[in-house]
Amino acid sequence: MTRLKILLVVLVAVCATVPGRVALGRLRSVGQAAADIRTEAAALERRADTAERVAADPKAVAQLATLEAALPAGAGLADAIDQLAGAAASAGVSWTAGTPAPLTGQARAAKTPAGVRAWTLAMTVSGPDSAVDAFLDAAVSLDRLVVVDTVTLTAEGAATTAAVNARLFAYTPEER
Amino acid sequence: MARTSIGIEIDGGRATIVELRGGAATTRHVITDDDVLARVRGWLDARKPVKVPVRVALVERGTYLRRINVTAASSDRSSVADALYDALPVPREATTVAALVPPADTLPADTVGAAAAVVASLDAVTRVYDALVWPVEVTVPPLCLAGADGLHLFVGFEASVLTLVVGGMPVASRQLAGGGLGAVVTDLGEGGAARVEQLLAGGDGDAIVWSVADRFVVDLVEEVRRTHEHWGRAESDVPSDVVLSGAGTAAPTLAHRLAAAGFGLARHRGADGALHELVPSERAAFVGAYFAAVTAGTGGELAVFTNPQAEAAASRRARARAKLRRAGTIAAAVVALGAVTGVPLAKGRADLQAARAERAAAAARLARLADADRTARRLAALDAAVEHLDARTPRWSVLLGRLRDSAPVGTRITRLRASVGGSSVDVSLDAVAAGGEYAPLTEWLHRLADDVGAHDVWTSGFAVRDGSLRFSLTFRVPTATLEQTR
Repeated sequence: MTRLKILLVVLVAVCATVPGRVALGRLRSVGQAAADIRTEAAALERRADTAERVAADPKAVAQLATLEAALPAGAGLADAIDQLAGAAASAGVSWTAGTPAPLTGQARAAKTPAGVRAWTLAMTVSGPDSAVDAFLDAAVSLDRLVVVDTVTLTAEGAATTAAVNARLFAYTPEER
Repeated sequence: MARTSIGIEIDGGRATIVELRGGAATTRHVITDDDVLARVRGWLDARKPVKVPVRVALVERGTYLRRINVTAASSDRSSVADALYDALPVPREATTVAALVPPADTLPADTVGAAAAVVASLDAVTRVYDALVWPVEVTVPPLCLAGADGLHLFVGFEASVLTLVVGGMPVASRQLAGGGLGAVVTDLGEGGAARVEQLLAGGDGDAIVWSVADRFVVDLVEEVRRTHEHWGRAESDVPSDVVLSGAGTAAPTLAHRLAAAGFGLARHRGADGALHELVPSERAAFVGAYFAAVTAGTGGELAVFTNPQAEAAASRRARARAKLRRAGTIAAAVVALGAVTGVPLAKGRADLQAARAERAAAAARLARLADADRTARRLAALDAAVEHLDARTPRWSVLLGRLRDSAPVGTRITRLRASVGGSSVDVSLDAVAAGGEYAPLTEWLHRLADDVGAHDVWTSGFAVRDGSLRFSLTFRVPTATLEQTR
């Protein structure tokens, strides 16, 4: 047997034994670790690219302010009532009742994304049809995001009474 | 390049040295000492015969030469020894063997050929090897006579040997029973060695020495004659001219006694030529060393005795080489394993380091943009949340306006409920139309489907009461057809 053959036999034997397998296993794990770290590095680079674009965009701060007004960090119920009352007055309807309540449990999980808290707000307004329409448009166009899920209109003579079920939101990413 | 070789004949306390260069004796040296081996070692140390073959012809009593038969397939030292010990009653343990064997290619595989084998004292041979240290070949005078056909008479101090060489091969050799001049020295007692040397040097004033030496010569020649006669009966061609060698050939009466016994004196052409600078009477003392020098480095390993120490050393070296080869193979395997796993592992670790550096650089860059990063992430999250929450919110005024516009003339909505459900707004309403006709109902059903784009349009009931048509409708309006709020 030539020395080369002996060498190959020894090599195969060594590779087949525990040290060889350990070495090959370590080789694979090192390669995987390097790939994982590069993936992390690429993600960090993408975040940095985005951050640079945001830093260079003068509209970004204003956009963030708009979005934070739509989804404030807290319930901000007083501000919401003020805005809705203003909308009702502007539209020419009488806001006769309002019932806010936190949205919890499965209903909240089904309707809100992660980090968002929600409240339901049942309102009753009355006035002419056109005024009710204007109120509904104004309600969903406030700085604060208001989503109207259900509208029930009842005609009472010349006036219309509207029962409106809406939702208000806050963004608190620490939750959920 | 002229071949250089050295021949040394060691005969008791006397050594003769001949160095041949291109067939001519450039050195002729005689050393006499009680410890002649140490003196020869000193001479070799001074000469430093590197890559020069040195053959030592050891004259030792109790050396036997026999013709043995060998085949090409068995002409190794072991088979020669077996054949020799079968022929000689000597113990294997205390002896060692050398031989002249015809070249294997001259012997057909299964044909018996003649070889000359010698057995000698292991102690004597080992003593010479040990003492001289230098890589010399130790053999005995008869085995130095290869190619020198004729009848050779060596007369030395240690022994006297008669050898018949035929066809280049010593076919018979006999240590004469009378021994060598050492016997004369012994007979003379104290100071005998010096008196004998004086006699050999040409001094003839010591009658006692002369007489004792002559008696030794007479006995010697008589034994030569009887041996010659014996060999003559066995061999077809035994010459009667004798080639003399050895220190004892300077004995003053030897030539006369040989002539008287019917022997002539022959000269070996090569030896005579190489030693031509010496007078013929002095040449014989160097002939033995000359033949040793001529045959030094020739005749193969069998022609000389094995050096036990060199053999052990060679064995050690062979083991060391084998060990080295094994270590080399293991090292090569380790290197190969390293190449298969270690190098890629090292590269992989270097790559891992580079990846960590890339991640650290990206993290550092992001840290410098921490505020912008927070803004960007919050912006993205809020945008996604608003998009998710507000995506399907209709503009209610558009929906309600379309429904009212589609109502037939004289028809009034008394109750309406609309809720966002999935991709459409589910609407149910109650209405009153003046008159008792069903036309307003059917007309509105058509308009809802055709003008408003409602589907699943249905009436859950209708009735004429108090001159008015009262009915209820349910339908769905796709939110996609309604204007979005944001």
